[in-house]
Amino acid sequence: MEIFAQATSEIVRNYAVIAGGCFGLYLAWLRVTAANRQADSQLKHAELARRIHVSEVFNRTVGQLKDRKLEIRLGAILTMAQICKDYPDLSEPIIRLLTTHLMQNRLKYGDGEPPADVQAIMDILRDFKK
Amino acid sequence: MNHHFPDDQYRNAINLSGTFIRRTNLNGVNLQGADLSQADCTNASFRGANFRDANLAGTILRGADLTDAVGLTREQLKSAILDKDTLLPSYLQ
Repeated sequence: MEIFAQATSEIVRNYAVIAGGCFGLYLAWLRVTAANRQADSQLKHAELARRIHVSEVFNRTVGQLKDRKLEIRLGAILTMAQICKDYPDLSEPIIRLLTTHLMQNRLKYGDGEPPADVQAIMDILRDFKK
Repeated sequence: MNHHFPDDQYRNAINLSGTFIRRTNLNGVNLQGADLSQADCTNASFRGANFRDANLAGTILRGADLTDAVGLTREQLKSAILDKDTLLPSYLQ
């Protein structure tokens, strides 16, 4: 009789251990899921912040395309090239903007070599319109 | 009904119409469906560029290097302005 009671007690204890383990696993899963959700949300926020920053940089560089100084214009175009590399989905609108800039500001430089900014635009076309 | 408009396929084609791009390097560029009409491309380099369906009406290609360019047709070249220094792809010589 005593042996039976002992065996029953052992079985109950084992079930309790298994149930406790399962509950622990469930809690761990909940915690991991919550942590993943939080990480995803942080990533999305970081990406959004980066996009906003790129938009600001883009707006600033557009204003610099007509600057009097060649180095300012060149810097703006090189920044746009970097945006094209980092955000390939923005390369089409940037190319459209730069080609429109070429059409609107028909800088005639005679028979000499093209200015660095004009060639930099061509480099972007070569890199992103293969 | 899904209509297909020919222009749609070149929605993102390059538009360099009327630009002044002498001596620039556009080697290997995809100019498929591009508009280069009235552009001044004197002495520009277009080695290996793709000109399929590009608009070359009035495009100045004097001294331009079109070696290995693809998709060029005689009709396109007839509408452009060439000279004896223009280097043509072998299939158009």
